Amino acid sequence: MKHLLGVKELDTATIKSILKEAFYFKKQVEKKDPKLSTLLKNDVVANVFFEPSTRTRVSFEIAAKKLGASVINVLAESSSIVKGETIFDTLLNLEAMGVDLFILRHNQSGMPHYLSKYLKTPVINAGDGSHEHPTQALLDLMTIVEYKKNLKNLKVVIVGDILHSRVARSNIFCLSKFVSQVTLCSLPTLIPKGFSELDVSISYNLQESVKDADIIMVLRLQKERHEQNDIPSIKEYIKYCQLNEKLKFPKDALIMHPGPVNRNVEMSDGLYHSSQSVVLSQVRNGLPMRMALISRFLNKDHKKIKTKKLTAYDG
Amino acid sequence: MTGRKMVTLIKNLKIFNPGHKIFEGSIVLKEGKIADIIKNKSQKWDDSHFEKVIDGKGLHCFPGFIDLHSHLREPGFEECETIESGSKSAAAGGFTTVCCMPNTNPVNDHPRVTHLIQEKIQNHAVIKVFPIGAISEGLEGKKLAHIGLCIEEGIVAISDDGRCVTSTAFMQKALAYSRQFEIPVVVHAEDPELVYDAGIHTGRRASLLGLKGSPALAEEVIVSRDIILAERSRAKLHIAHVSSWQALKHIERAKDRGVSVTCEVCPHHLVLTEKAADDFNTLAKVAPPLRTEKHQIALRKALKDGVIDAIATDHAPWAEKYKDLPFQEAACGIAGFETAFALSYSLVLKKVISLDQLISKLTVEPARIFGFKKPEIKKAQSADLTLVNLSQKYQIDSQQFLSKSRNTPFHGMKVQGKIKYTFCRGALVYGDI
Ligand SMILES: [Zn+2]
Repeated sequence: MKHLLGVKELDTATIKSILKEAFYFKKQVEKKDPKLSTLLKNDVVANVFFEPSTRTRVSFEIAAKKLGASVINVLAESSSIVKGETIFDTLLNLEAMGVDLFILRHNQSGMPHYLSKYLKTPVINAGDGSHEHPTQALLDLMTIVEYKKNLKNLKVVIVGDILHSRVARSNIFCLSKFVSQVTLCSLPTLIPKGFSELDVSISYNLQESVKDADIIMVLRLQKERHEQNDIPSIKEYIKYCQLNEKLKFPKDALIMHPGPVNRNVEMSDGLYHSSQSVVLSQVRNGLPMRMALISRFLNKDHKKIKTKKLTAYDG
Repeated sequence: MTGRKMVTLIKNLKIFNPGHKIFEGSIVLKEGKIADIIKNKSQKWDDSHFEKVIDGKGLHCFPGFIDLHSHLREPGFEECETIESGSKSAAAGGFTTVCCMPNTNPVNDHPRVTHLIQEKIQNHAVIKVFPIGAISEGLEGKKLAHIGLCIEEGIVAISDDGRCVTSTAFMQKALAYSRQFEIPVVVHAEDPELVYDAGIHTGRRASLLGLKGSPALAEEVIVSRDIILAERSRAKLHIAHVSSWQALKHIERAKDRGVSVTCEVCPHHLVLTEKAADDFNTLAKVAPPLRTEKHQIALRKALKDGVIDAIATDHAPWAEKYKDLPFQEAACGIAGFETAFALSYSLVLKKVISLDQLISKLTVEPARIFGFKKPEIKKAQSADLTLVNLSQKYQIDSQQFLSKSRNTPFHGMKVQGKIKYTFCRGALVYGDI
């Protein structure tokens, strides 16, 4: 793997081995393994973020630091004025200064694909436009594996602004390799054109789609959506797309959200704090997952990592 | 280059005028005209009577190709193309007449600009180049350009190509005004309000790339609107680079009821689908976009059935700095002159259309649409000839382009049908002798 640009390019075997490594790092972090902080002690990881995101950036930063790498943050969050050419120059300069790995976030779909063509340094895509957010989908899968023993029979429902969601796309690519059914539930204006041709179900009725769900993945709503007439108002969005206590769904269904949650918009506060919500587990798993991925690119002894067999999809 | 006064003999050709039988013969060129056509069997002659003798054995000779739609970028974008380089590129593609769109800088919306372009053409073009004027000032779709005065300077059609006229009221007036001159109005049909990401087709593939794209609907809405307007005003409407089956339906029905509407298709829409833009390939970013197989099949059928009148290149050269960018920032367009014939000929090889249809759609049909003299290989006609080896197979190599730009998704593609020589006004403008 030269770069990690998307889940689309990953085969099932690669995803499984990434997952095993993430669980390995999770265990070592819990054990406070002192060797971890020496693994990448001569490496420099650059977080290059052209879109505001504290959580993802900090998660990468802590992951890199736990492995002993130095981290620099390049933040240009007024992203609309940052064009490909200028970013390219920035990255070439950082490469020349000895950066070993780029973590890249940009609001244009395909930006890391363009930049990585010309970089010798590996790039991890931390989210590009509405395209992909591979590390999120991988940590989501990791979280599902922790809670659900058999992935094959799971029914996953993704609820919300699918049209603009890179999390939804990466999860569609990822989950369709492992689970039996993926349903996308939203309002008609928030479903991307042509998605009915994919191997997913599309529903406009939240109650119908969650009634027998094993996993309910709720997406974040960008609050400006009503300005583009994708929806008339947040109020109406809440009426048709909010996951709340009025809906009937299985008691053992997991509720997931990539964060940060708009409280009482896409999900009621009650459900967010309920025992079915695994949102904080997702955040927690972000760390070992990102450690595993950073290690893949930078740790020369990476292949020696001993991983145990996982049962969720091997069994 | 062969001088105009020189008497040249091209012998052993397979001479073909659309609508007629192919015959073997030789052509005598003199003072820019076809001085004589000699059927092979009819007589013997002495080569020494001619200053120059070219053996055309194995070559087909067609009337010079005509392209209704190209961007020569001069004035304003000379790093991408000039009238000189563009005309040489066109000649290499077998074209002896091309029309250039007005979206230059400054825009060709004023007789002074047309005059300047005409001067450049006089001094630098190796083939016949006719400018197309703007419909609106600055292509802004608000105020009529100086259409009549530009016609005095030699524009042959009007178009806001690259942009679409959004206002229905403005388009209605433009079409009505065009009747004063019976000049064709060429439409780039893509409602900008429906185009979210230019250059990629709205659908599953674009959606998976996180792009909203440009839907077939954006084309259909404008095509149907402009057909209605043209029907009322009885103006001459020409739909540029049609790309969707829905637009074709509207055009077909309009033709059936006698509306004066014609249309063209580009080789890239006939040969490629949206798959070419996967992985954010900006070389396949073009407006209107490459669409699905369903659209492609409809385009091929419409070409065969005559709903599509002509093949046009939409030659849109871009220097690397406009294309080597993230997808959403890259320019739309394909440098098309030098691949147009071989790509279109692939449809003859696949038996989608006949050779006769192909050559018609590159010669007599475009001439008819813009009211040019009928191109014909005939005594006393301007010696505009394209000589092609139809059996030669080769690989497209963009490094060999005579265009200043190399933006093509066809680099490396294996094709058949090679332009060997192009003569314009009797002068050899492409090919080594
Ligand atoms: Zn156009």
